[in-house]
Amino acid sequence: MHMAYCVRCGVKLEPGSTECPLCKTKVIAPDDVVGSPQGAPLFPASGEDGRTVYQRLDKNRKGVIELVIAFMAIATITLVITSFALGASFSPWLPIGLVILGGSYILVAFFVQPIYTRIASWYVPITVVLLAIIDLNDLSLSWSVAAILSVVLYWFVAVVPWIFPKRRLKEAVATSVVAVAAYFPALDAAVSGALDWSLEIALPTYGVVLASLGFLVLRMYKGKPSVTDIVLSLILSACWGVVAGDFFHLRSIDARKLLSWSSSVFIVAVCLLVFLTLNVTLRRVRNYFNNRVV
Amino acid sequence: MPLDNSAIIYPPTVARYNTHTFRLSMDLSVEVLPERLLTALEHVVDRFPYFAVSLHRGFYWYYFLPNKAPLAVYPDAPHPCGYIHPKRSANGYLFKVRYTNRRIAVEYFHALTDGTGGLVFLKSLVAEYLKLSGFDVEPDDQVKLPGSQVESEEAEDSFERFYRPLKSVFGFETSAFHMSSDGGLTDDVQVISARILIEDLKRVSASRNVTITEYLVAELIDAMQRVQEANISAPRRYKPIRISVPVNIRKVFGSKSLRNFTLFIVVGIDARLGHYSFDEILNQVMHQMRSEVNAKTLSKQVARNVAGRRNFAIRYAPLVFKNPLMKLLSDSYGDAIYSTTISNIGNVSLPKGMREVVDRLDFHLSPSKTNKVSCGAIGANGYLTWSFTSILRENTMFEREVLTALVEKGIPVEVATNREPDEREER
Repeated sequence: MHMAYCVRCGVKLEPGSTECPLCKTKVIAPDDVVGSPQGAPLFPASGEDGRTVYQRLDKNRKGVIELVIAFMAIATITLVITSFALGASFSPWLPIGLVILGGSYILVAFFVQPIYTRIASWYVPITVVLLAIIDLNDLSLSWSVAAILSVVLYWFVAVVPWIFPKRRLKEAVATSVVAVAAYFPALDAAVSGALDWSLEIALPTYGVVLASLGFLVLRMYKGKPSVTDIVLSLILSACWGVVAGDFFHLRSIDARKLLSWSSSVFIVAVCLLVFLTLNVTLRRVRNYFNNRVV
Repeated sequence: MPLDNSAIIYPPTVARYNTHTFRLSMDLSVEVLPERLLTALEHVVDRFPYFAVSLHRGFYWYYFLPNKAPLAVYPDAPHPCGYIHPKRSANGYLFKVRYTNRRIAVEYFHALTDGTGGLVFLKSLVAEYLKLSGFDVEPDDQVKLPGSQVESEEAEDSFERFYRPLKSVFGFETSAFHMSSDGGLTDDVQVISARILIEDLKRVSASRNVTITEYLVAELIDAMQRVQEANISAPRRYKPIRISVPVNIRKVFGSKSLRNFTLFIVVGIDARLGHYSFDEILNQVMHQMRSEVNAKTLSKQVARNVAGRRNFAIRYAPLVFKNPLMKLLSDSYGDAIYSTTISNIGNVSLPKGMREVVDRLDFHLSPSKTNKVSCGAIGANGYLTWSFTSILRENTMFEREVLTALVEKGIPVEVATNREPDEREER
């Protein structure tokens, strides 16, 4: 077996070592002396995939699952018999769908690994199907489209970011931001059949809020704003959102005024902006004269 | 079920850098299938009902309750001996079974059991896994296969059984030397593992008429002395160097308990008196260890462990007051009085059927914020695996001093680590 020795410590190094773990001296030797990693490493490298295997069914869980399936079967049979008895006046379609989907909610908790993202990722499609079934009772989809879009938005905003590993925070945030941006035109198209308010009001307002929040993120990235700064900046972003909503709405109806009911909010936003600017400036001046590193 | 007498200190003193966990692992020559391992675990846990418990906080004490939650096996992690959360880490269990495609490992919270109890559980788990894989494992004292009789003695707190009341058993030592945190700390436990032929160690230790454990302890003290001399310029600021050595007292007292039944003896040198040669250290270690490890001296420690718990004021003080007190006592009179720990499980005998399949055993002991490097040693198949677990992000001086000293004495040492090469390049 090929194996290198540390020239300083004299210890044998495991095959494939690039340096001595004791003194950090680099291994400089031909490949056939260094060798390649053999057998199992001391510990798996970080990020190596593996799966946690859970005990899926113990006696209690098995009992509950059997009970749920039994209830679902009994309810379905009862509904079918009732529909035969009542004839055309009763359609079992909706209640059977609800029974099966309600049971599925419970069964998911027993079969899926108890991790928020996995459970939520299962509940989202079940909820989508449930909403569609309820709405399809009259053989057409109407209100459920908006509801389904909202459920999908929830998945993108509240589940997907947690699926990303921590080191990919930027991608996670970007996914949520894009999902919200896509939600407005999708909802607009689904409800009114055309891109109307979403392009004229929602997306520009969303852009203003994002820009304001982006400015705060930039400040946090570059320096260390105080908690007061962060809270006030968040309030400021909300104010800009309100003002922008009013502004773009007035533009969409070709009103003469720049702002209507949000004038007072605009004044609050300007005051906050002035306060924050003064706060930052005065702190920098104070730090400059105190010779403190900002 | 109450915690045993030596376990009560662990829950209140758990901290970020002090997880009070240990890990035992076996590398196999057969593939480990997680589903089969889970089945083996379910079978084995039925045989070890006192391990199927969760930790709860009472008004006066922590206590165990039977845990019926589903079991799980987890993929192995890059760093051993992580914190086992009493509620969230392993469905409330105080052990965590990990696997790779060729390894089965179990990490234990020390409140549950000690190294011997942990080894019996791991051996039983691996034996059951091999049985499910079609291997024929011969019976062994330390393999408790499902279906065998559960002896009540296995779950007993042997400290209570062997307690003899004694007065004035408390004595305090001065603080010992501790390595500094140069280079920073990390809660991802860093491991340097040394594999040494037991024959080589036997040869060297026998030539000096000491046991392998005594020899290893002497090497640790000698290395720690060099670390102290390198880091502290003024000899007047030197501190004693002491090593804590857990001793399995089951054989001494004749106990079959699989819960904690270990006592710690502290041996060392007083570096304030001058530099000790290796022979002087070996002499000190040999005499101190041999005078400590006997039933009478150990009874004193058993009495000390139990007396504290039986004290009226302590027994009926609410846990909310006891916890900070125990933390203070542990930091001031526990970790502070020794420089590091070495736990030597010894040479593990494996039954026929398992011996052919098990390639290697490892034993890792969690370090603490005071004693930043801990050592665990275990022997099997002719090799001793000596693992140094450390929370020091970069500093490996102590490990280097110990292992190069062995090499200089003609003992070949093979080292492996989980330290990232990139991390080391930042130095």
